[in-house]
Amino acid sequence: MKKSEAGFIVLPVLFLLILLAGLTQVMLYLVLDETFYQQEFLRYRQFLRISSGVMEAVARQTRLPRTGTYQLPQVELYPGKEAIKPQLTLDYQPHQQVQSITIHFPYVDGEWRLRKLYLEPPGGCNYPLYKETAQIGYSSGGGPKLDKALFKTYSDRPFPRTAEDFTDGLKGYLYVGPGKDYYFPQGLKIAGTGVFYNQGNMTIGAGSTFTGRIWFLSQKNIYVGDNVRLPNAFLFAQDSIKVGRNVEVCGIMIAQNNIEMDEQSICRGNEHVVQTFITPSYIP
Amino acid sequence: MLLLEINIVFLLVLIIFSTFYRPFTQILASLKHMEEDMVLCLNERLLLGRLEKELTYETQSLSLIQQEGETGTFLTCQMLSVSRTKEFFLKPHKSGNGYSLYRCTKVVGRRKGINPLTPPHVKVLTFLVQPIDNQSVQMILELGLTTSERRRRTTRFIELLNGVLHEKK
Repeated sequence: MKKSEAGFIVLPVLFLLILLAGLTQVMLYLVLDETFYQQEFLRYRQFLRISSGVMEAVARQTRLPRTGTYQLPQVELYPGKEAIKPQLTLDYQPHQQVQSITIHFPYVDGEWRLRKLYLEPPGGCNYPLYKETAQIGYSSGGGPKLDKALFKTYSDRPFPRTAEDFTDGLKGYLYVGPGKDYYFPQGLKIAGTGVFYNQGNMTIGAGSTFTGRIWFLSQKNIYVGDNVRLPNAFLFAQDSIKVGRNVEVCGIMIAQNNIEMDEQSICRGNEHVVQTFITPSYIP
Repeated sequence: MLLLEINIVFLLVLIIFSTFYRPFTQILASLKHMEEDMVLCLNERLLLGRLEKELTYETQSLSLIQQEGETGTFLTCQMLSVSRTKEFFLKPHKSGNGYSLYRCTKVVGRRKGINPLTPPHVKVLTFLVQPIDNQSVQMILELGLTTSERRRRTTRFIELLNGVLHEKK
């Protein structure tokens, strides 16, 4: 009897307290969760705004400063006055094959980056070999080499994987291959621009057409299948290039070792194809 | 004795409930408003996040056509993948009040696909995109719920990192 009397008032009070505490907890959790996402969203927007401005300002410079990482003035983000010290990394040397502008925003939970690449052919855009080669379209033996380590550093974008990725059109990025031999699909009309670099062999599938400005760079061999059309292409192979039947190339083909070309195939020179290739800005 | 205790507990709950009836219903109404605001906020963030991603990073060329009634803008985005075009536009909501936002994706050589970007319980009241300069736009988005009068209006500044703007009308 005494035990029952002890729980007389405590039970309803406990019941109410639990109910109120639960309700408060749920509300607090929802509000905190919402605040977190809202803060992330606002932070990202501010990063984007600052970095696009900086990127534009750097791109407008006629002479870029020396390669290195530069500390930009500290910024206070809204809300909460979170202090961020943005950094600008310039990877730039005259004639360097991959040059980059990267803006970093280190913050509490990580780092946000935005990057843009400027690509030059081996030896630089004004390397005399390209001007000479542009007259006949192709050249073999000697010349500059591909910078393997540099391309490995900028392997943010892999080669397209499915035929659908190709039919959608290329996005103008530097695509770094898997290292082993790579086969482009056959019989496709591929629009858009892009630079393909691979350590292994590259085979351009028979009947394919790349309509935009395109670079194929290989540490080994490049095989161009029959009936391929490359109206604005730069092919550079550290070893050899083998061109199939009825192929039309307008641009420049260079192989360190040998170029084997079918008599029915045509190669017309185009000096403009080796001008600096600028990728879109992207998050690496 | 246990029965008596339970009865007294119910009596106490009843007394508390009747005493605090009005504040209690107000709290409940506020909770409902909070929930509706959160639904709107979540949908707004999803929608803006998606649109912003497409426009900021993936668009090469953007065309704007103001739709009739000045509540909506017809957006045509030529994507970085040159064979792909995306259109964003408003269509009347099934409830007859407000609009739904749709995205139409066209890829050369394939059938086009049209998908709604707003769930059925959310209606778009305003979707206006106005040019600021040739690389940035201002987006005004107003969302509402089909089940209540709550609405949320936001203005965003969107920059085209990899594209340019072509205003048609």
